[in-house]
Amino acid sequence: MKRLCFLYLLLPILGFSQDGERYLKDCASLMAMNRTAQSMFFYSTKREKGRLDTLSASARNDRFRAFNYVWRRDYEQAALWLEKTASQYPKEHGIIGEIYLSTLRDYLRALAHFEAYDTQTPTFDDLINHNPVSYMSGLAYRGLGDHRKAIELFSKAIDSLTIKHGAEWVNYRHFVSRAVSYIATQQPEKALADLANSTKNFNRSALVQYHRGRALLLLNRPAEARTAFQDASFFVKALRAERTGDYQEDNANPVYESEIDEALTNLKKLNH
Amino acid sequence: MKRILLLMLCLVGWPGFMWAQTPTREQLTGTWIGVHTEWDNDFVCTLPTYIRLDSDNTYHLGMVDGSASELTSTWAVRGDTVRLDTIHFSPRLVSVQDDLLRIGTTYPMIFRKFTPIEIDSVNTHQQLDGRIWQSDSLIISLYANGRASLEKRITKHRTAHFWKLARFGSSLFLVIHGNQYDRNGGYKFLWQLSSVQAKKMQAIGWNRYAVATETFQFVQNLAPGDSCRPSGFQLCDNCFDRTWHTTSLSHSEERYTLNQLIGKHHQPAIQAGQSGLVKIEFVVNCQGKSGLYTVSSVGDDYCPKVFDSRITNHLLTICRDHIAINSVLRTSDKPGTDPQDIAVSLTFRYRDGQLIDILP
Repeated sequence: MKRLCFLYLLLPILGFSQDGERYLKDCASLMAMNRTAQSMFFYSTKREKGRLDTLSASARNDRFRAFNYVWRRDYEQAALWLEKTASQYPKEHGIIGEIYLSTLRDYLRALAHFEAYDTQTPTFDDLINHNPVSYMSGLAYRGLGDHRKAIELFSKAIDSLTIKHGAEWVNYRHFVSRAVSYIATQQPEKALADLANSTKNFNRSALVQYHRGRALLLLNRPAEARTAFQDASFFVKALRAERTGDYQEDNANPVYESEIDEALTNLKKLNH
Repeated sequence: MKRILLLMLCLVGWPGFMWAQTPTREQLTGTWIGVHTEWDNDFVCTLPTYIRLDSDNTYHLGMVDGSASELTSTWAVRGDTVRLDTIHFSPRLVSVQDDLLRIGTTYPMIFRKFTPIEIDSVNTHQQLDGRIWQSDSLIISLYANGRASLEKRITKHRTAHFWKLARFGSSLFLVIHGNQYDRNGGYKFLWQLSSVQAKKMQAIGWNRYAVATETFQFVQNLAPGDSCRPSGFQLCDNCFDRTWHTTSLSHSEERYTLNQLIGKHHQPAIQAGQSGLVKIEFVVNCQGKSGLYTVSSVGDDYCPKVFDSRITNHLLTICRDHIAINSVLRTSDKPGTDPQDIAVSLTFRYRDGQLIDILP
């Protein structure tokens, strides 16, 4: 995202300026940008690669190098550096697994890294960017279509926190993920229970209302489902107004405005 | 002694060493013509501006072709710091070497020392207008209606633009700008004309390696019916790089629409062993024409792998016939501005010939 913001800043300077006045202002802006030496080159990928090549080997530097290849969509080099980083610095297994899961959608490799990460402290559900590794593994199994195993792992992450501190301390997105798997395995009541807990923790969620609508449809309660989808539609528009860019409540469970509209349209068709 | 000699040789042989010195006030005084901005190691864009640093500390920033009012302020050198207008550059970020002024290290801006060469504009226009000229590497056709074409002699790749002569003091610049559609799209290059004769002209500019004087020989007059057309797909923007222009779809609404579109047109074909990632990249220009398609792929082990051509051709057809022409790609265009060229990169994950995921 940082890269993206930076690009929006630079694109007008880069070219396609409409007239000389604009060109001149852009040139002055670029000079101002050049007043200091930046430590990273963002979109100048080859210059950035040159910089990374000069850095000494460390977990952080090697991870940066791997991420740079991922970002450039050089998948061969990306996998090479991801594996190299994880093998040399075992604590990196977690974040490397997350890249395989969320960016490369390689669920088998993601699971292998999550397992390697988790076995380092067998008695503790380690965290990867504030998410328990069991939850991340659940997402990987869900990606493979194994919802039952996913539910088992989501439950491990959710239940331990609920027992220790109460359901209000569980990230509402974790309840949503388990609800999605409950819906996929035709267990809408359990999904609704999870979504009710989600709502307690964030009551303006389009994501929660959308999946509530889906669960209610499975229970053949179309009137309530419509209300849920309408709420989802309202919240997603409100979020769009509040946020900039392509904001998603949860990248692991993206919900799109058109998807909600389609659900409402399908409900109308059902009634006719 | 040997060590000192070696150290000295290393320093002299290292171009960055000379660049790193802050120039003196005397070195900076004068007029500097924009050459290009280095956006990346292999991506430069023409810089159509000039800087004039007067000995009375007056600083001027303007467009070489006079298309904007000059900005005027002051400049100074104090110790190892240079100030241009209100911008105080960190030490060694402004440097001079071999008559080239280099500003910054992040996106370095390169200017060349300007030497005026008096050229008659009326006579020059008559000599250039409606004629074809060629250098060792390039053929330039300058049409009477203001259009121009540039053809690389080796590849025969031809692009269409516009041309004009711009007066800069007593000097004259040949400016090639715009694209096949209109005068937008920025500057292709600006060459300072050093001599123009009936059969030969010479111009100073960047030749991909250095600032040099390029010689163009007269080839022939353009025939009245000759048209200025590109030889194939042409971008609108004269300053284009895939990385910088790739539209980021991430988890946006546009991504959802594209996924739906791909899902609608993709025909599954189970083929054992056809697993891994297929990446398709292409560019859609400002008028919606697409080109520069590339396909690359890796297997599940992330080693290069050639997929069955039925899979890659099918994906190419979907991209060409359904995605490239879809207006959803244009939603990033800012309201009130002309559409820009867009680079698209899509990666598909396959398992045994089945499309199982589209990477974000």
